[in-house]
Amino acid sequence: MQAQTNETQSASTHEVIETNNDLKQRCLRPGNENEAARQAIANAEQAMDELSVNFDDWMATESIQLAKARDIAKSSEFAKKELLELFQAAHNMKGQATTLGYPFADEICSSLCRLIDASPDKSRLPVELLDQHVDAVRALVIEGAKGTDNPKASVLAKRLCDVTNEFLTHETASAA
Amino acid sequence: MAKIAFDELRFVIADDNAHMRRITRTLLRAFGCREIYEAEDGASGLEAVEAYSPDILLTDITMPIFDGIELTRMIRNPEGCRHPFLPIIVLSAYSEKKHVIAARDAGATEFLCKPVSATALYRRIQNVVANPRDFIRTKSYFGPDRRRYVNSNYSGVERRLNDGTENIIDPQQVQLEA
Repeated sequence: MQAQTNETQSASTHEVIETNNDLKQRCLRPGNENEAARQAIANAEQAMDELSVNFDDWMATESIQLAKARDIAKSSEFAKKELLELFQAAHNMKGQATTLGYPFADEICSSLCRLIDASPDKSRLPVELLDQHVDAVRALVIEGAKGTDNPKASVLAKRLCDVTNEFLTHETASAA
Repeated sequence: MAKIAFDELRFVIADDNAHMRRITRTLLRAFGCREIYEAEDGASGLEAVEAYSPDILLTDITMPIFDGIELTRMIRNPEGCRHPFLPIIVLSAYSEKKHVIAARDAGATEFLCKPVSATALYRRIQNVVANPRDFIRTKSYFGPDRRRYVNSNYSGVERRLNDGTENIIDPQQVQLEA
């Protein structure tokens, strides 16, 4: 199944290895490339539409996991491992919230990831601001605030991003 | 003009998030794929690669045990893995340049930022199948040629002469689609 080494050109500093690409020979068929792509992508979008009946439940599960990670991180006083787990829970949501129909949750989780990752002194992380991010995500999911046409969710996300930026600017300047 | 026979392709998806695996699997099946295997961490991703000999690996970056960057490095090590030429598409919510460059320098073939769209995933797979790149081996790198585009007007330093360290990044000459 793998590409086989076909030819090697050696130089003193590097080697160029031409691979005999098995995929190209095995998986390309004569046909209209554009039409095939259009059809495959349309099929995939249709399949995602069908899958989307699960998305609200998935977001609810993910947001509960985020809140749990926040609680554990707080009770550990933001120990390194627990803080990393909170970051990863937020990062997971960042990666899928838009796909699941909640782009503002994506923005809030991006802000939360930035807050945790870019804070120069983790012991000075603002607990209230962390809580506000997590609670905002929970609220969006509970309220079903989907899509980009939601003024309240938009304002909430923007405000959290702005406050995070202000905090990080201040902290970075203090640390310098 | 040619179309991809997706039913001939075998995939491994490595992602610690079950929802993301389901989404990726759904997209692949809709494209026409029939053989799709899943792994929920870096170690089981490596095991799945060895066990199923996939045609393409789709991997997240953040995973338990070892992450997608380490998984890529392990696969690209011919002494540690039987499939060093395996096309690897990294899917990640890490969209910052440093992560894209880390994936590229580990030997990733393509990088796709989450959220994943059907169109973006299709294009990455199409690129892997129809436009394979040569592999390069230097003292510090083994993987697909990171120079996607040849700039015939380039007159700067030949970085591969740079003692094999290849730490200089010139985005004009070394590009990875994000």
